[in-house]
Parts: sequence; C-alpha cells; structure tokens
Amino acid sequence: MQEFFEIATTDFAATFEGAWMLPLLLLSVGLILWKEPDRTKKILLGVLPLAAIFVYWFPPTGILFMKLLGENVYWRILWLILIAVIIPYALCLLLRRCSGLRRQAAFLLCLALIVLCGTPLLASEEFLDSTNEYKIPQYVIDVCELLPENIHAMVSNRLMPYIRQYDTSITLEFGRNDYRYLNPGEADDEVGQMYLEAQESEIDLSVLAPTAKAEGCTFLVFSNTRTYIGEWEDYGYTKYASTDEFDIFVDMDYEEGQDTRKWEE
Amino acid sequence: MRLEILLTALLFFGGTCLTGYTVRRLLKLKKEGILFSIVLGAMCWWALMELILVPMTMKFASFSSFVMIYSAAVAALSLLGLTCWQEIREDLRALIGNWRQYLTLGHLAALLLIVFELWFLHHHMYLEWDDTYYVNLANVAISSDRIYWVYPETGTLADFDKRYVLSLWPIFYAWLSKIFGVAATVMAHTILPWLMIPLAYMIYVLIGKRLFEDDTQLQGMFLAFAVLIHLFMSGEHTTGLTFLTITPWVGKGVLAAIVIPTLFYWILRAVCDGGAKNWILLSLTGLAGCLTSSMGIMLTPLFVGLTVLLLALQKKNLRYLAYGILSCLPCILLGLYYIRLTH
Repeated sequence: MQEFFEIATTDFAATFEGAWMLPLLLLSVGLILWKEPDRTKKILLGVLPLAAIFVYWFPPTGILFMKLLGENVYWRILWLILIAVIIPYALCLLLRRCSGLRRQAAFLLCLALIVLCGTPLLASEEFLDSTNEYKIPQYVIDVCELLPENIHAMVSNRLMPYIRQYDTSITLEFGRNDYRYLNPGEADDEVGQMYLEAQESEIDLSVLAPTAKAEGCTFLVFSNTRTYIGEWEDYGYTKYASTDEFDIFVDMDYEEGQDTRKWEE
Repeated sequence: MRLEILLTALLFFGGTCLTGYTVRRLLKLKKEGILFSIVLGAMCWWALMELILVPMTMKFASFSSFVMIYSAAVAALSLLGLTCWQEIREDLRALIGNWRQYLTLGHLAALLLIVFELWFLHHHMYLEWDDTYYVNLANVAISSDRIYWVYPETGTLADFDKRYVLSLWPIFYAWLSKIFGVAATVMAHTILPWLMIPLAYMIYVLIGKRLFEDDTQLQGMFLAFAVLIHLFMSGEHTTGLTFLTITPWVGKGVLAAIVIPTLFYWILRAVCDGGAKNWILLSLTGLAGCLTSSMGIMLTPLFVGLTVLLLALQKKNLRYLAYGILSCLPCILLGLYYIRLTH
C-alpha cells in the first residue's frame, strides 16, 4: 500500500509540475460544477475528471490498474482527464456571460492567463534546429554516409539510437536496452565486458577488440575524443574513416561490398 | 519535401474524408460536415488496420502483402465515398455559405497558433528516445518485408515483443512511407506532424461545436484555448497533451491527443442524440485506440466504462452502461488476449 502511494504521488507530481495546470484544472472543474446548468455536461466535464482522479488515488482501483498497466506507466491513467477540453470549457462558461467587445477583451485576458500559468513548450531546450529531413543529429548522417551498407557494427552510445533510423541495413551489436550491462554484476560475460570497456575514455583494446572481432563487429565507431591502449592493427582492425566527431575502424578481413550483417535465428 | 508533405496530406485527408462519407451513408448520418467525415474516416482507417494487421502479424505475413490488402481496403472505402457526392456537395455548400460565421477572433487566434506550431515543428527536431524502437520498427518493416520479426534496435531476428504486437502503430506510417517512397524516419518526423496536429485540433473543433452549438464565437475561443493549452500547459513529458507537440508521430501520443478526445466526442453525441450510431462510432474509435498503443487496449474501456457508469447513475438508465460495454467489446477481447500474451 505504501509503495502504491509512493508511486502514485511521484507520478502525479511529475505530471503536473512545471506549470500551474492542476490549480487551473481544479478551479475549472469547480466552476463547471457550480455554474453549468446542463446536468449531463456537468457530469462529463465536472464529475468525470474527478472520477478519473479518484480511480487513480483509490488504492483498490489504483493497485489493480498499476498491475494491469505496469507500475512505470501507471500515470497514463491521468490522460483520461481531458485538460484541453475542461479548462477551455470553463473559460468559455465565463465568456458566455459577456458579449461584444467585453467578450473579446475577456478572451484575450484568458489567453494571457493560460500563457502566464503555463510553460512554453516550444521554448524547451530539447527542441533543436533541424538540419536534415530525417530530423536526427547531423553527426549521425555524417557517419552513416561513410559506412557501407549491409554491415554489422558496434557504435558509440551517442550514435546507437539513430544509426538505424537512417540506414536499417546496418545491424548493431548493442541496442538501447543493452544498457542492462551497466547494472553492476550483470556484465560478467565477455560481451558485457566489451560494452563496458567501450564506455571508458581510454579503451583497452586487449579487452575490447578480440571480443568485437569474435562477435563479428566489422565496423567500430567511437568518439574521436577516445584514446586507446594498444594498436588497432595488432587486433586486426584499422582506421577506415573519420568525421568531425567520430573515428571509424574496420576489420582488416572485411572486403568492400561484403555482407556482414548479424542475424540471429 | 514540400511535395511529399502535400501529397501525403492529400491522400490522408482526402481518403479519410471520403471514407467518412461512406460510413456516414451506412449509418445514415446527414449534415455533419467535412471535418466530421475526416475524423470519422481516420478512426475507420485505423480500426480497419487493427483488424487486418493483428491476424497478419500473427500469421507472419509479409509487409508487402499487408500493404496490398490494406491499400485495397482503404481504396475501396474511399471510392465508395465518391458515390456520396451529393452529401459532399451539400457540406461544401454549407461550409462556403457559412464561412463568415467562422471569421471570429477565436478562430483566427487558433488558426495562427496552429500554423505557428506546424511551422516551428517543421524547422525543429525533438530527439525522442523511443524512436529507436518504434520508428525503426517501421523502417525494418519496409527494408525486411517482415512486419514484426526483427528486433528494431539492432536488426537481429527475434520473436515479437508481446507487449506491442497488438498495437503496431508504426506500421501505419510504414504503409504511408511505402506508398510515397519516403523513408519511414522522414515520414514520422517530418510529414506526420502535418497530419496528426490538424487532425487533433479538428476534434476540438467538433467538440466545441457540440458544446456551444449556437455560438460560433465561443466555438472559436474554445478552440484557441485548447490549442494554447497544448502549447503552454504541457509542463512535463508525462502529460498526454505534450505528445502532440513534441512527438506527434508516437502511437501513445496519438492515443492521448487524438483518440481519447474522440472517444469523448462520441460519448457527448451519444448522450445528446441517443441512438446506436454513436456507440458504433465509439466502438470503431476504441479499436483505433488499440492500434495506437497497448495502453489504448486498457485505457479505452476504462475511459468509456467510467463515463457510462456516471451517465447511467445520473440518468438512472442502465442502457448507457450496456451500450458502453458493448462498444468496448473489441477492446475487451483484445485486452483479454493481451493479458494472456503477457502474463
């Protein structure tokens, strides 16, 4: 029970933080319940959001849906509160009382209220200027343009999420979920050790390269800020190409045009 | 890229509009307008896709065979819509005849905000971590001609992830990509916002029309508030509204920003108008929700169930509860199957 409340509280706070959404929502619900003459609208726009909040917080329903939906995504029940219907409706209830220029002026004031209470989403630092129609980082495209098709590669974590969004003919040794290797005690196999070694600023090639070769990683791509203990040539790899940010190494046994993709049946 | 955006928008909005007219004729829904037809058509496309895609995925059918079957079904529904030319003409005439009604400060503000949002998104990118899985799922479907055999992140062959197998939304934009010969990544990140954002706000237009039937000024203001809330109130990533602006191509975003408000719209109509038609549309939308996200399989019955329970209590009429449960039947069946798959 305590665990349920901890998760519910954390997720509820996370959903509504960063803007004055919750107070505005509750005020809107209160206004609808108070002023709306139509009982059906009162139910759909006033009682329904409260019922959704009740389902979210009431332990029997909460624990049930936490089990059905999953603890990590339990907060999605809060999507059932139609914020972009309820708040506008409440504001329009206020505006309905005015007419003519007074209504237009009140409308502008309400717009200002939303702006003041909210957070400008488009000003978020996470929006970056787009430099290509794929809308992925340009450094990914720079690397992909140099890599041949139909190869198996191990790449820097910065490239990992995007490489196959540009070219699916490249298979990767590690996907995003291979971050499991970062959990202590789970990287006791050679592949896990290779993954962890690739995260070091100074990479010991005696740990990384033999496993990479054994696993069929024809191409290795690392940030050019990395330094290496050992010589690539001693482990059967050589430098293939470079971009502004990355160095690409190739298995010396690789022949141009060879299909080295790794499929696991 | 502008041409690709234009052509995809023409296909999507034109096709869904005509499909909407086909369904309207079947259900004898008259004088509902063009936006209504587009929203209805979109829900119909997605529900149909769920019906076709789930068995094809389970049977390990190829992606190209899915493209053929689904395209044929969508084309047939759209072409049938052409036979409704008289209703289309009537709706167009009504739209043109009443255009001055919609020249209000609210509509103007909403239009400016939507155009700004689209312009901004067109020139910016948002790096969504989950794209590694979902967008690649679409890319892989096209490149490997397999619907869900390949682990999208690495490209290794794998048994499909049971959590997602009933909700393969990325295959929708893989289908669009295949038709237009555009990479699925480009379709998702660059083209899809031009479809999903206008569609989402069309639903708010329809809701506004229902809530303020006789006051177009308030309809415009309602829409402007709704758009502004999407742009300003979405404090955190976890808020459903946020997805429409940051990642309109993601299935759960489509569920939160498009499907759930549409469910609300059908319920609003069902309560005001009565009759079985709106419950059928609700059922169709529930099925569409299942395509967008596995969350849709659970959240749709929850939303509809909660709403009809409250309405049944208020009206002291169990009919609402019965209709609601019946309309959720496709979701409930998929939900039971989902639980069987995942537990």
